[in-house]
Amino acid sequence: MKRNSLWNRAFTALVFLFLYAPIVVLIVFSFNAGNSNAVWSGFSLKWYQQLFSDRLVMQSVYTTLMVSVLSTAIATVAGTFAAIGFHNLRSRSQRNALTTINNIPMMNADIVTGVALCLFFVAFFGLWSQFAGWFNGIQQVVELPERLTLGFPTLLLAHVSFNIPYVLLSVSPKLRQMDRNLVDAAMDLGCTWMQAFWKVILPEIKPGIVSGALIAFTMSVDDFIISYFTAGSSSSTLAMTIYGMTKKRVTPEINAISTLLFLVVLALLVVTNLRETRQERRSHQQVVAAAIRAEQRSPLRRALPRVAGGAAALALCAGMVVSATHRSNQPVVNVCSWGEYIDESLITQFEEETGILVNYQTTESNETLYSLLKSGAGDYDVIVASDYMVSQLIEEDMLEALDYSKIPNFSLIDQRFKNLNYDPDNLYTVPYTWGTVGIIYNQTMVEEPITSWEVMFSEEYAGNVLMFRNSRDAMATALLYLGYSVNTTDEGELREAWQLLADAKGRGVYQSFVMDEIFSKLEGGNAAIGAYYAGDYLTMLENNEDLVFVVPEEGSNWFVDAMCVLKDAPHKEEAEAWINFIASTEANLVNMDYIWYASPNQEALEQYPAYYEALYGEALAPDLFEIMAAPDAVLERCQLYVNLPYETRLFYNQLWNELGI
Amino acid sequence: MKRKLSLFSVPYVVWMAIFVVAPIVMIVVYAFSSAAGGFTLSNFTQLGTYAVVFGRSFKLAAIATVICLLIGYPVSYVMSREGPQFQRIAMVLIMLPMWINFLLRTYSWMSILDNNGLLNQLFQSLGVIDLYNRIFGTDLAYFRMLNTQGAVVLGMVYNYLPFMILPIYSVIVKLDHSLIEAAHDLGANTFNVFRRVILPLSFPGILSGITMVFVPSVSTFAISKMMGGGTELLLGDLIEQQFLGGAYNPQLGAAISLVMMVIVVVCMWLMNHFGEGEEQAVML
Repeated sequence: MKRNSLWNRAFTALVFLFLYAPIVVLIVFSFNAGNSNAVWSGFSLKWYQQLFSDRLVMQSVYTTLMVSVLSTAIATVAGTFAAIGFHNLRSRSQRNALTTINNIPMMNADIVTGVALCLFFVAFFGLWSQFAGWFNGIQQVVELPERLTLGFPTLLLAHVSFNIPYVLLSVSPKLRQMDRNLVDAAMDLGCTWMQAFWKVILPEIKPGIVSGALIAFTMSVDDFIISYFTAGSSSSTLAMTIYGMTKKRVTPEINAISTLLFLVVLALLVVTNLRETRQERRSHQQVVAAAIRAEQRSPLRRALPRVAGGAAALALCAGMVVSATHRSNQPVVNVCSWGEYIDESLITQFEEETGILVNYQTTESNETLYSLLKSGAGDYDVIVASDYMVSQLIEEDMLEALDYSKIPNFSLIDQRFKNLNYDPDNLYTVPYTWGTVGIIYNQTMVEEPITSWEVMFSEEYAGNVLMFRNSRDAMATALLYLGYSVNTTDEGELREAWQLLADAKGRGVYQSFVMDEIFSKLEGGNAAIGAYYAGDYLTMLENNEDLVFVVPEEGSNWFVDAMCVLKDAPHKEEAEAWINFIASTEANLVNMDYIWYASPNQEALEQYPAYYEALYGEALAPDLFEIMAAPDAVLERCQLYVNLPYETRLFYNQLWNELGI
Repeated sequence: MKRKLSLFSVPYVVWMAIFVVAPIVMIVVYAFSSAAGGFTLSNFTQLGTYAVVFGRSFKLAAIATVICLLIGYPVSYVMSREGPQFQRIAMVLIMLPMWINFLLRTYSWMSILDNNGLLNQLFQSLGVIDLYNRIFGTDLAYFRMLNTQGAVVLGMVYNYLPFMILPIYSVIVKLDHSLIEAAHDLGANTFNVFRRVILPLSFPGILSGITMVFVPSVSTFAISKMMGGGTELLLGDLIEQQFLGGAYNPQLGAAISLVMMVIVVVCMWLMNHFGEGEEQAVML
């Protein structure tokens, strides 16, 4: 066989360079002293140190590994057998039909698969609870659980079902390639069909199985949206945790854990290869007799690692089941919030003080949260949602009224943030944070200070402007500029605002539509101007001192994110204990310092400058404090979102789609 | 023997009936119902507006697939001719980047390609941009690489290239070398051996690879949002928008994805038809 020419090897090397370039960048930034993905502020190992105390990340790594390894193992075995079965079907049309059905999960958009599976599981749980009720009624011997919820088992089922098609697709070509007479020959020579399978078919298709397993594992590790809809409220994979952070920013801790996982796999690869090479070399040196002896012993020897592997997997499963049942005796509260929106030490502190276990999950937007709740995927107790989403949930009767006698810290909340229009009688909510939206710009990249929304629609800085990538906030910038209410339902006004956006887009004003990518773009000097939230500006300022925040003269939007309890939440008392704890002054101070969003707790807000000075040994600049907690004069110019009627939301959606066409 | 082996498919057929067909039935039901619950065709009649998005998604996915094939086939071929140890390592090395979260990889690409990103800074320091400006008389401060359709295609190629390499590689590596030698002995030159023997024999792998790249590329989301600047929607984004956007409209989302699936099935069917014919031609 001919060897590769230098040119061929250089080409392959280039492809590897292409595959690894972003990985190298990612690894480099895991050692960044700052929290940016774009600005290098010096070498540091702090993200690695923080990583190990970060329970959310470590737990999600564990869940990810469990799900991916188990689902890959199951899917590889099942997919291989299925491929052999399909291959041996007599009728070709049958085979083609089955192959097409097999391919469907791959063709489907992930989100559709996720929602469909979720609806399916929820429907099944409904039927099951009827059945279990009936079954428990007619006999007393076995008691079936009546209430099933989404959790690790459904997550695993979902992963197996989207993994199998990939295994099948990579095993099938090997079967088609295999010489059809091989099996017949083996059986003519006295093999049973079981032996023929193990000794002839399997070795022939092994490369296909291995690549199928690799692909399945990859899909499993990377999936987040199907997991979102099937994981329930108690387990969360690494990918889910990462996407949950995109409302704010993905912490470099994630770079650190990825680097570690990457290095572990690389090390394993090197070790196994070295061992195999050494074994190969040794076997060459061995005399024939020794080889024969080894051959005689080999079935047992070869079986041993497999048995050990199987036993380890079983032990892991058993351990997981035990830990799951063990947990169920402890009081629990399921919380859903945005990622990177709490100082996690608070979770540990709450658990230590009350003995209540907190399952903390994250989503990346109000709309995702709503979708999860609507399809039955999110059975949380406490959620954090923004003002307009809260009123939508109240309207649809999805929230439980709170017992404020159990939440004494509610009295510490500033009167300004009580009885707001999303919850006029304050029956359902306790505010979590508040803030304003404004324009953030790089003062070295603009001619003069910016004061108006006009800059978002004029050609002056064309190609350097970043616009929101969600319809409500993007339309609000245009509505504010035109002097309309951000809550207008008038289709003429909305159309006018849309026209403004569409024209600006047509003239190339927008470099891109962004959410959390705005961090790296503004910090790295890739864009000059963007609109975003005040708290996030303060985070960006840490990485780029040239950035300036302004609430435009036309006014802006201000928001409140509030904690609420879902209707019929199974752990209402624990939920109220959690809300009370988070509403306390101490918790608010800690949180404010971590996330840079202003607290609604009056005491905490007043004490914060002193708290900051005590912690960092320098005074908090008053103008920064005013950006975080806007004074009344600024708030008067700002409007709060209210929930829009369904027709208007559909109209928004239609306009937004048209903008993207 | 064949009979017995075909029984292996029974458990999976049952599984598919539960986990594939049942959810699909739900999607069909959704696609034909209105928000209130009654039967309607309106979800499909409004799809005409989105024809552009359909066209753009299929076009970009097709380009990405062709590029993947053009890169993936030579790589698989080169790999299969290296030593067995190199092959083992290379196969895992090709998959390894994909085990790092998609979002992180995309952020990295953004910091490489951005206006003030690593690549532009490199060009700046090497004087490439000045040179370009002098030759073409332009006044560029940077090359615009991010937020273009090219960046979207790059994102697709980057994410799905391994899915092209692996199936092709696993077929090529098991090619019957006596066939190649026979062709050489019979006087075929290298090019003809490749075209007449190796390429047709690796067809099953190519078909699998194309499926595994094209299909997810069509329905991908987030790549166009992040690499393409979010100014031009792809199908995946459009569907996602219906579930996770401002208005929860799963009916329209289901309808779009149903139509998308039908188109993909037709494409795949055409390709398989073509592929099976090819395979037979080889055997004759």
